[in-house]
Order: sequence, then C-alpha cells, then structure tokens
Amino acid sequence: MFGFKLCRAVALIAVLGSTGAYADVFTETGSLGPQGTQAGTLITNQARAEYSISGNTLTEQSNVETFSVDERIQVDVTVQMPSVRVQGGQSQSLQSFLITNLGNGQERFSLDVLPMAAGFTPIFASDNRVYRAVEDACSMDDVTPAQAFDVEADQLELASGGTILICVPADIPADVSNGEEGLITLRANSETPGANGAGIGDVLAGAGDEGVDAVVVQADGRDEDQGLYVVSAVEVTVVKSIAEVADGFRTGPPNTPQGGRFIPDAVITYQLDVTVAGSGSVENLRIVDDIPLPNGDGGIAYVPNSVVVDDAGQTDAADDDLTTVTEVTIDGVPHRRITVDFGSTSGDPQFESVITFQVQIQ
Amino acid sequence: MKTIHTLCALILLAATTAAWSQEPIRLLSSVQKVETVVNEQGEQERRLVAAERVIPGDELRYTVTFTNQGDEAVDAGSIVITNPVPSNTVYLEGSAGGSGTDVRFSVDGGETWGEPDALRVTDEDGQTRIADAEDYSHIRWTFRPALQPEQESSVFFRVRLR
Repeated sequence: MFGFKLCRAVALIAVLGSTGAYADVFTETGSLGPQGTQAGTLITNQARAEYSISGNTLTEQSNVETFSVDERIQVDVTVQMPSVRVQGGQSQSLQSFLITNLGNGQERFSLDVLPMAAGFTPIFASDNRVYRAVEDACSMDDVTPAQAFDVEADQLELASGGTILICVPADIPADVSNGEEGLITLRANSETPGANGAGIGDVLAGAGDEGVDAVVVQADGRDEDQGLYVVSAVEVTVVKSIAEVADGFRTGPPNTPQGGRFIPDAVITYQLDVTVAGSGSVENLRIVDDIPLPNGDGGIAYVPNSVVVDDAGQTDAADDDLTTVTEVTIDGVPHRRITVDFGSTSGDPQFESVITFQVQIQ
Repeated sequence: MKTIHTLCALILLAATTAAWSQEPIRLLSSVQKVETVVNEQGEQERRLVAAERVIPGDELRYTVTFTNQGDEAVDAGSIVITNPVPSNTVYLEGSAGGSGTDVRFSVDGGETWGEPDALRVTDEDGQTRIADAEDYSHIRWTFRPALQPEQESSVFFRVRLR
C-alpha cells in the first residue's frame, strides 16, 4: 500500500516537474462512509467437515479460497439548488455542487466547468477558480486563497464515500431579460489512467488501490450536473406564521407566557408577510391560502370575515375589497380558499403587506 | 546433534503430511461470480464466470465439493459441512443447497442452529425479531446418505459482496 502510494507520489512529482506548475490536492470535507468493501480487501473462505467412518469421528478443513476486491470507479456530482435567481450584470453568482466518491477506493478527480447557453451564457471566472465551501455554505465573502481550486491544475482526492461541496462563480451578462435562463455544468473526472475514454464496465488492469483492477461504471469515469440561473428582476416572498392564540384565558403569541393554548375553541390568528423586492414588477399578484373544512374528527374552521389586510378589515364576499373567500375541493376534501388580490405591484420601492386571518380549533 | 533434530523434525513433518493426504474426505472450496448478461434474444441470462473482477454489489457463488478418497464408506448422516458466511459478504436468502442435504443456519457464530423461521436476533433497541438472511453468520449442511469410496458430492450458497 505504501509502495503504491509512494509510486503515485513520485508520478505526481514527475508530472509537476514536467509542467512546472504547482497543483493543490483537495481532500474531502464530509463523508457518507465507505461505499462498500474497500478495494484491495482479501475475501477468504474455508469450509470444515465433520464425519464418521464405522463410528470413528474425523474432521477435515478445505483449502482457503481467496480473492481480492477490485476498485469500482464511480463519482456523483449533484447541484444543490434547483435554480439560482440572478439579475443582469450580477458578478460571481454562485452555484453549489456536492461531489461524492461513490467508489470503494481512494480516487483522484479533476474538475471542468462548462458554461452553456440556454437563453444566455454565464461567464465563468477568467482565473478558472472554483471554491471549496466552508461549513456547507457557498459565499464569496471572506473567501480565502486556501479555498480556491484551479480547475486547470488542481485535483480532488476523495476517500470512499468522501464528499466536498464546490462553489462555482459565474458572472451574468448585463443584457439579459427577465425570465431568461443560463446553465453552468460542473464535471468531475476520474484521474485513474484509462478512465477517460473508458466505457461502462471497462476494466483498467492494475489501476485500482493496492494494484487491484479498476472497473469503470460510468462512461469516461465521470459525472456532471447542471446549475440553472434564472434572471428575475423581482422576487416575491410570503412568510406564514401564527401571530397569536386566544384560548379564552390568555391571548398572545404561541409558546409564550401570555399566549393561549391550542385547545378546543381557541382562536388562532395566522399572519402572512408578503414582500415584493427588486427592480421589476409583478402583474396580478394573488395570495391564496386553502384551509380544510372541519370534519367529524375536529380540525380547524375558518372564522368568517376575519381577514385583515394592512389593518383594513375584509369581507368574504366578492366585492370591492381585496379579499374573497370561496369553497373549493382539493383531492376530494372541501376547503375554504382565501384569495387576496393585490393586482400589479412593483418591487421598487419594496412592496410589503401583512395579511391576517383567524381559525378556530374544533 | 542439531542435524539429527532437524532430520527428526523433517521425518515427523513428512509423516504428518502423509497422514493428512490420506484423510478419507477431501474438501475443496471454490468461488465464482454470477454475471447477468443480455443474450442474443434480448433476454437476461445469468452465468457463472471466474471471480477475477469483483466489486461491491457483485453476486458470488461458493461451492464446497467433498470426495471420499478412502477405501471405506463414510457413515450415512455423519457428514456435516460448516461454512462461515465470508466477511464483507451477505448471504442471499434461499441460495444454500446441495443434493441429499438438510441446511441449517446460525446467527451467533455457529453456537446454535436452526431453520430460517426459527432464528431470532435482538436488535440494538432490545427488540427481538425473526432473523434476516443478512444476519446469518454460518451455514451448515448435513449429508443424509452414506458416501461411498470415490463418490463425490457438493453443497453451495450465494452471497453479495458488501
């Protein structure tokens, strides 16, 4: 094992010597635990027999059958956010990718960043640097040189099950329009000689840990995933919370000394904080909340005409105010649907509104 | 003097080896990999190949062959073959067999034996449950017939490499 690692170290020094470049090797920052029996492990078997001849008991051992476990080369790259909201001209917008060595040996990987045009093409950093996340978070604030991974030179070395979160920065072109999308791909390539160009199931003789064979289970011994950027000049957020509970004895925020308990007949006041931020505008901003009707087993019941929008009382009827309460059936279950229709709103200046309504515990 | 001691030791070793090679029963363990391939008809086909390239998740078939190389018959019902489930592998349910044998399993390193339905294990939370195939530590076959001179038979089981 030592000899093999020494050979790899010598090989690396030889590569460095020939290119004159200095390459950093990043190791895992987390782990799923070993992914199967470690490459190079010897699996042995020996059977034993007991028998008798004319009543005399004898025993016998079989040969010891032994084989060694080969190395499976397998890597996973998974983007952590389905999409990242960006604005035109934004610099160093980050996508995060979790890289996991799903093989059963120690493995080296190189990385490639491939910007792709969907609507627009994100601009990957000119210094070819991605960054190792700190405490599972991607941020360019206080980033240190030790976090910088040069995709042209540096490599990962991950133990079986080892993970590392990599942050990929890209600039967003200024001339993009609302809703336009851009993609960036991060690819991790096994650096075992022969993996590049290998087909699924190909065997790289003697290329695994401890000199065992390596089996490539992904084409080219690599995996990749795409991060999606979506241009959005405006962002709508809705935060729902319980403002207070009144149980006939106390009235106040839940889980506080003055707050009521969640007991039958207690009235819960829900609050929806609505925010529209950014330079763009939203047409037909409509906030909807569905509350199931109480059934025989209890539940909660909407308190009629209890909606308040920014201190203005609302009626349930479809009239001149912002609120309408109707009955709808969702998956066969009757609900009260509260709809607050704000119409067109702009994020500049920031739009904020507070909606409250009440339900009673049955 | 030293030479004589060495000579004696060699003679003793030769005698021991000769005695060993004359054991009536010869026991041979072998292993093969179970490979699933798609044949020309597009059907999945399982075949046994040499266990030369084995990675986690692969299925393996062990065969233990026993031969009576002595001059006398081995008593009926007396041959009991015991095989531990190899380390880093999991026994595959229903895979142990062999002509004329009764198969039992152990979940406690060979201390006690039973049929699958009779085996119990206690989980870390103290709950007792029926053992799963992956709880088995050992397999034991009892060969019912007598084994005549030059007669050969075998038992087998399959595992998956963790």
